[in-house]
Amino acid sequence: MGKFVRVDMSTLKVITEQVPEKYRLLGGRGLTSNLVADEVDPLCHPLGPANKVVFAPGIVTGTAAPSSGRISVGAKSPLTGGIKESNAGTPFSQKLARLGIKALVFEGLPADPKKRYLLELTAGGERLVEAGDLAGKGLEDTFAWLARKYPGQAYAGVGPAGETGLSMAGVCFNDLENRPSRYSGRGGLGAVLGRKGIKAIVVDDSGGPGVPLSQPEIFAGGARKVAEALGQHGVTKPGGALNSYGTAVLINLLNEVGGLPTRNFSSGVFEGAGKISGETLAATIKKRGGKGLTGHRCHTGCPIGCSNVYPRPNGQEHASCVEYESDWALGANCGIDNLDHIAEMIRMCNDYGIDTIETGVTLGVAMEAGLAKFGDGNRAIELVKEIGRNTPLGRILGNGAAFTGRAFGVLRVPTVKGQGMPAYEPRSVKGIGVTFVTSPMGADHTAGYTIASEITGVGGKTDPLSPKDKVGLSRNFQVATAFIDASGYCLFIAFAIIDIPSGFVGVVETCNGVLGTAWTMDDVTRIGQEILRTEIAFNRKAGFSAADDRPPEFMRREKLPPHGSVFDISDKDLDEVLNF
Amino acid sequence: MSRAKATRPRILRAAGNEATGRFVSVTLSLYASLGRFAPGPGQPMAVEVEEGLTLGELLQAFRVPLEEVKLVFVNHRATVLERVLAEGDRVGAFPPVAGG
Ligand code: SF4
Repeated sequence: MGKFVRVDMSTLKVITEQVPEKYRLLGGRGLTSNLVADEVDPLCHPLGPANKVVFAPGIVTGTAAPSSGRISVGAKSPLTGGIKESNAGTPFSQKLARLGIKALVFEGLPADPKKRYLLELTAGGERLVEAGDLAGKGLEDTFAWLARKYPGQAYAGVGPAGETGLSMAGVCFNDLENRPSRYSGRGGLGAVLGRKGIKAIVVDDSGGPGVPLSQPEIFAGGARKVAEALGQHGVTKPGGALNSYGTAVLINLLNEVGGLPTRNFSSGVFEGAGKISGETLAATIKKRGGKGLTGHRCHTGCPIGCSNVYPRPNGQEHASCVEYESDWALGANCGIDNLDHIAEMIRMCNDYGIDTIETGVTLGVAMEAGLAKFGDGNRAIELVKEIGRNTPLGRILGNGAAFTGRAFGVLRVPTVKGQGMPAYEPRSVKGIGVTFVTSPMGADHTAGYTIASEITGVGGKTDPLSPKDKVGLSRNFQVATAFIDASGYCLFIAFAIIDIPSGFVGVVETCNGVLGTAWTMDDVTRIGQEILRTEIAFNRKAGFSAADDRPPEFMRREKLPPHGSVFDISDKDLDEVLNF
Repeated sequence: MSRAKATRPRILRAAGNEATGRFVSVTLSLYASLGRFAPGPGQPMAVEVEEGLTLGELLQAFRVPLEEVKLVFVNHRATVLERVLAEGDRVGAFPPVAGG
């Protein structure tokens, strides 16, 4: 039986409680969204005392199930004003789960906003200590300091952007080599945590109870099925696409279908795609050698290994990791075709503690406003520096694409519910557009990854340009994803388990093995729907209506090259997507 | 694009088909693990193919095993290996890939 750890920043007291019966079968996003919905006033100021930040490992996190070291972080988002869950893969999550912590909740606000705190979590108990030395420090220095002071443990933290309260600040976690590189990046959760005075969290799971299995045989059978599916599928197997090229293998693919948003969503093809592609990335890593690495894993127990370490020309480490979204956001979306410039901006984002997607989308809007020329990597780096230096311009940029668009009177602002769109053009790939527009998270590709079907042909092919049947497609993906985000598995297992149904059965069996339940595939749908309903209800109370489930107006009007297409899913259809 | 015409690979239709003697120019990009079948770096490749050649025949001419090919595109639209190539076609081929 696990526990909740509650940290009240107003009193600086830490208490633990048994997991209430109501939350016993929840994990990951299921737990963060339910706790936020139950305990946070939807009308509260996101940076104020009434908001809470919840960390929750997934149901099977901490076990031997493959690729299951995910952590969900939830709160009311300062970026969208709605409920937010953003997850990351990191040893931090596995250690938290093995300490028996089902949820870690930060509440209140410290009396002295200048103070910084560090939370130590061990089998012996929890301790909140002052961490004034770390105030204002970048995450590179912060994690290096933590690794020295708390060797062998796992770390979470916020950068200067989170301490300031910028809406693009993320919560950062360590990878296996203690880099500050694994992010619950989206929605400004780092600002909520930072303003609560929390600079860092360290977890030591030695002597912890581990994750008890209620039905060990069922668990073992399920884990085997998941592992087999991952090992067989062309995308996830060793030497497969994700392992060899990383997620940036999608750059050329999306460019081929005319769905790679380019220069602030003004084209679906980027002439420089080949220079920033996963293929070029892998070749550059190989050629430069040194610290460069493909097939890198974000935590122990992932056979896929989609991550990488990008080296400088002399072989020294530059940044980790150059993945598709970051590569696109700071590359094609800014018209930048130089991987070294992109890597430098990724490194800076990781150090300042900001979301690479929101940063890239914001830069695209800033370039549209004339703050830099599209394609000017050096100037883009200077703009990101403004965020790190916390200048007035940096504060505008650091609050995201929508805020920047308003500040400079830009018409083409690719956001939904205030959140910048990820790397798929809704006018060329309409199902993912439906997800961007209707997800309670704001524009979020992971919320319902229809790309699998529309572009990569996983789980059957659908025509990306056709508006037909996209309501059901997005709904099904959003529902299944809500379940996977609760399970603790990395979403990338989806490519294998959609095509190999026994793999999906294995996912459900591992959950049953941990929880002692007898869930079937029907329960996947039920649980996914319940999570979404909870999130939508929170957003309604926070003031959202159907009018917020709409694309940016320019996407209905401006024809996008190369297909000359617009986003033509009707409002009526959009209202049906999550109406269950 | 006439400059390189003489040096471009010319790909004939499979034996048994009646030769037309007419050629169309297309570009071919082989992505991810299929890149190993490209004669050199620097995609896309410009090739001349005999009229009537299909996309699948083009790939075979570069010794690409068709069972490794999962996704093919012509001019930014998904298509099939049986597609007959036309002047100016931009062809791209991928093994199973995905990301996020
Ligand atoms: S597939 Fe990538 S993101 Fe997912 S768990 Fe493995 S290394 Fe981490």
